[in-house]
Amino acid sequence: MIHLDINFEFLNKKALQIRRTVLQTAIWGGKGHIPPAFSWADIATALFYGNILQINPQNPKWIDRDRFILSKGHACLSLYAALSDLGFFSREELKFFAGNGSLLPGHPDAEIPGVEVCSGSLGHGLSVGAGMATSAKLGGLPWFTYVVLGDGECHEGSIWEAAMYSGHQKLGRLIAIVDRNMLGATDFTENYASLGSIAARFEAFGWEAVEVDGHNFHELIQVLRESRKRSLGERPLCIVAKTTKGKGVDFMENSKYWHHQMPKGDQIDLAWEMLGGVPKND
Amino acid sequence: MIELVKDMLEKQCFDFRDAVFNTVEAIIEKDQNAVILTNDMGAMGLDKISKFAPNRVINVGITEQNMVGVAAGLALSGKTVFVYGILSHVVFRALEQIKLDVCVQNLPVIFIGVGSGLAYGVDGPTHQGVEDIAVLRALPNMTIFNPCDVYSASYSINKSYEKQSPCFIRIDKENLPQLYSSQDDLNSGLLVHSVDEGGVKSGAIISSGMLVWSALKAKEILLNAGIDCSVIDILCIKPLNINLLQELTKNLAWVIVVEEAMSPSCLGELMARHILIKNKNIQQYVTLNLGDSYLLGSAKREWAWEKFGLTADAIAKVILERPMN
Repeated sequence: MIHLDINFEFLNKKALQIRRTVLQTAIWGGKGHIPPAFSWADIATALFYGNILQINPQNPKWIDRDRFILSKGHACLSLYAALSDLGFFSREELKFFAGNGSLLPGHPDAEIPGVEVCSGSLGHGLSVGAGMATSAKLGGLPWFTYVVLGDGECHEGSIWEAAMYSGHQKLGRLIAIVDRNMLGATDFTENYASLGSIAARFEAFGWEAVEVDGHNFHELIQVLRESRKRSLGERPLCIVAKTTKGKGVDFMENSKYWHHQMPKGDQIDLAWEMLGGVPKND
Repeated sequence: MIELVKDMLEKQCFDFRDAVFNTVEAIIEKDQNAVILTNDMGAMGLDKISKFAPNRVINVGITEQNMVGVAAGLALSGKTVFVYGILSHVVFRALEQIKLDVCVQNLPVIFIGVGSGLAYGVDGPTHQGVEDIAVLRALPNMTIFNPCDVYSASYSINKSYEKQSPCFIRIDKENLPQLYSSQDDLNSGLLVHSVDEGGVKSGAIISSGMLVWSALKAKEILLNAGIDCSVIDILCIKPLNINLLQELTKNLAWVIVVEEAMSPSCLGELMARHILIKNKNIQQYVTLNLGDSYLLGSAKREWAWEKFGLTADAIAKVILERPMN
């Protein structure tokens, strides 16, 4: 089991490391969804380095592990960065991201150690997580299920089918974290299919919902630590994490033009500069 | 060899759903990790199971996508999951979940889809199960059973449970007599009906599901006209027992494939691929199906069989009117 010190300096260092690995991996692969990965990079840091997820890199299928699903699979570069750093697979694999026969495709699949399901076609993860949480509830099992959703993903009808089911079933140890960056793939969500208050929507389906700053470790760690105290038969929890898409590289931030495009030329230098400088041995 | 069923209507009839749920009940009773999900579809058998295992019969509401996703999550956490709903709704509403959540990871999710073919013909294209085989066949790891009687339906449930991988069982809602019994070995997936096991047959009528009964009647008509042929019931559509199919058809002068399916989805094309490569002397290869257009309006099964030439008389006529050398 992983037991890491929880201190803000450490978390900030790991969050920067994740963003640097995201950029480097995308450059190695010549592709990747960098801004969506940056958007939840701090959430990933809190989950994987804040002693929240109970997982074991030496035994990825440990039966009592927490289940984690990145439902917005296109943002997998942050997941790959964390999993490789924790030792689920070699960091060398990142160099072959999206290459022929690579362990690491552009959207995650379940062959990757530490990845539970294929994701990236949106709207699947919450139902699968609900099934896992149902299994835990039926058996009185100790683990929790965490699912990270995109806000654009919440346009999928299947998300609300799953929300309705999980609320009714009182899957208290199912925690959905919505990466609320206000952007879909091509535009701001409120410009084409308004989502309004996602927290209110989940509450209407029988969930408890809280809103936090998705880049503030104090808020993230606090709400995630609280989530560990939840019992099997209470309402599921939705954490709406307000985030900035592209967080960390200013020209990508909060822009409808930055979803899966790659930085080029000077943009790459600029991005490295904002993330602590060009890597020497990354 | 299985004896021809005669005087069908005089025999005791059984309900497919009762047979299926009796079998599921036995599994759920002995296996604490077996769970059944339904999208608000009722069945008497389901009610019976609910009484002794209320937590393991979950009505998820009319949410097919969610139902299949939940099934996958349960299966990933050690459960064997039965999923019950109307065949066409489960397949087409939740196809991506069946593909990505269940089949890619080869999970023990057993779909029981009621309403194969024109079982719900009078309810229009929303309820007809006439295109699903084409799409389910395209999914790696998927097994497809298409039983024509209660015994083979029950066998399909047990076999699927034993396989612990994605299975789709297409079931009807007719009351029918039992065609097979414990004396028949269904494991080959192809069931052969022949009067004389050793005799030389001129041809075969291949079918699957409900039209096996029509094929059996057609066989009788042909026999009375002096033409001996086999009926081959395709119980397991995928994986198909290709070797046995080729062995059974390699010397035949004619083959008719008859089914309640749209022609682009039909078994006729699938069978042709395997049969014609081994049988170079075949004189007639005929596929009888529902064509390639939607059946709008009400289409009662018997009416549709007449319209599309799927009755026993129509099947037999194909051979009687075009005699072979």
